[in-house]
Amino acid sequence: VLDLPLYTAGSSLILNPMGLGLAFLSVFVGIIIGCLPGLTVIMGIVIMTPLTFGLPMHFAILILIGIYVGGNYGGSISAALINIPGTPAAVCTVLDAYPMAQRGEAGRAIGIATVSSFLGGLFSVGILVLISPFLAEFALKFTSLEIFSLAVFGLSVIVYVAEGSMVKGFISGVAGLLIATIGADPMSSFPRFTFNRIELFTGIDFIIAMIGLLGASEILIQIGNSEAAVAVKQRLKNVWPGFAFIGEHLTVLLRSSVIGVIIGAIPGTGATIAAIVAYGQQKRFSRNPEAMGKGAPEGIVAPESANNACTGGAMTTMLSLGIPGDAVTAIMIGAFIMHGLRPGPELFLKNFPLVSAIFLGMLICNVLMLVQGLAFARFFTLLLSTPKAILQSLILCFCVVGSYSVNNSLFDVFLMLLFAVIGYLLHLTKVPRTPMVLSLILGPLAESNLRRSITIYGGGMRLLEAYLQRPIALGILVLTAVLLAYPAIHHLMAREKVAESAPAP
Amino acid sequence: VGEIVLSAAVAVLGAATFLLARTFPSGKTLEMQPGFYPQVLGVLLVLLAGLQLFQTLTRTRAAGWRRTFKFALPRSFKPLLVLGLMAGYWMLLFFTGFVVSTVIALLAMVKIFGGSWRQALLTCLVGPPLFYVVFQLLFEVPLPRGLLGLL
Repeated sequence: VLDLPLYTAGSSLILNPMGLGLAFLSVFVGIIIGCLPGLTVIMGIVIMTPLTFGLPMHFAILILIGIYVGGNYGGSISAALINIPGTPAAVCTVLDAYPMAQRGEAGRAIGIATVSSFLGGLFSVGILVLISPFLAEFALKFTSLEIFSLAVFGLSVIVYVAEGSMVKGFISGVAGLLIATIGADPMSSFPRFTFNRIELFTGIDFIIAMIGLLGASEILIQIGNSEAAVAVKQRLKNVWPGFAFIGEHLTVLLRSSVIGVIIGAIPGTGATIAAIVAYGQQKRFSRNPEAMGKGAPEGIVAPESANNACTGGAMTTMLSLGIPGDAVTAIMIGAFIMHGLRPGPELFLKNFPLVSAIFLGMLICNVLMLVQGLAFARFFTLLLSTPKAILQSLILCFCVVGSYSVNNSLFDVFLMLLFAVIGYLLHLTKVPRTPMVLSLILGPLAESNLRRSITIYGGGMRLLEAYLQRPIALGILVLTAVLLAYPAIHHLMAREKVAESAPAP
Repeated sequence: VGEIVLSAAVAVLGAATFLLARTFPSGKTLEMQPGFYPQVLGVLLVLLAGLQLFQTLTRTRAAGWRRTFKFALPRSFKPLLVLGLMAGYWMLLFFTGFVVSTVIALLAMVKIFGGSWRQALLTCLVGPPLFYVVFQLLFEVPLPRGLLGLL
């Protein structure tokens, strides 16, 4: 049964000129960030988060949602016009949008991407609104044992889906857990790894680490491999693809949106994986798979609806369970914590109007994305000629000023620079940064809940007995173990198959 | 070499963590005092470093030492230059405050990133006022002041 007050309680918070203005502005900024190659959604969220400290919580989150939704869509504009995905999530959109633009249909390519992104986003908002209250109600029964198991599950999946070597993913994850222990111990307040620095007693601010690891270090990485972008110069005509087009591609839209929502809800995944999987599935189910990669509309519909549907999926896990679906929602959790709140089932109980405002905010931002995408397509196209040197310099300054503004401390700027160096070194050694980022959020959650469980149930065999009495906690841990063991089992099975098929000497 | 250096660095970090965490109250193993969790993480890091080294050496043996042993230096030294510049910017912020340090930093950065003098000057003219309007006026977030209290 739909709980109507839940969905309208926050309307007064954001359905006002200030709220709508901020939503409009943040979606606009988000699309610009997304469409400029080199600026990612994560970077946009990271540099915008410090700006929101002075605002009430609902406006702060609204701004981040606007950038998240706008940024995920914006990547398709540069994908269509300059053959470079503005964001990694538009990596598959390039394959068909650019050939379509080269045929003189750049407007149509951008229009299809806009409408698909909107419908994918809308679908995911529907899922978010319908599922998250029930998931949160279910999660309210969770004790520290279940929360600990969930945090461990989140950590294991993050490492599992990390690009490249799994061992390196683990190294990054464990190093993140270690960084999260810096500061006063959560149970006894004993100072750990503070080296007598008073600034470290409260721990390393998550936002500072984010700005360094994902913002500043990304610019350092880009400086080494800059590439010149050549824009397709043509007038954008017929941006609106028409209702008939939507009707024809309804199955593709629905399938890809479902893929996007599911992948978005899995911790540690994100829009890029969703877009790749949706594109792959579309190629499998397509009646004309040979046309894909040569400017087929369905090749734009599938990845774009999936990458925007991802937003609702990631928000569902974040809001109802307090587990980040991707790096963006991890930063959002950081923003919640900065405002003295923590996403999770208790948010639904204690901050009813805020949850409703987030639902409405997601809906409004998706509508604004559609309107702006169709109306300002020509303007966003013009922005693609902005010199990279100016953008990168301004972003680095944003990182410095943003990290200062978190606690009005120059020590935080130093920490941000340190994390930028760490992020750059991780890139050089091909160690993924995402597991470290997500560990910073999940680490304290895992440690404090494990210690709480030990205090309640006792350690050793007594803890094991408690697990046996709580099937959900045990189930999550078993699932985690299976996920972690799967690559090794798969490797052994593949070796056995090779050995069997090899001819006898 | 890069992979071996990574393994060694992770092993050193793990060992240092373990040794430092041993100085924290640890209590009985299963009571989980403040030192227990960091000690576990330290041991995990050492184990992972060992695993990483093992994987590297196995791969190296399979591919041949000469092919694998290339030191992967970054393609340009610009990142190091920018890091140095950022460190300088940080120190200048402490002495001169936001405006002067940001103008100098932006000018230097645009030039390092390959921009023209016109672009550099334009960024210096537009950047600091933009930050002031967005941070201080619009979102009421304070900007750093220097030793003399100047913005």
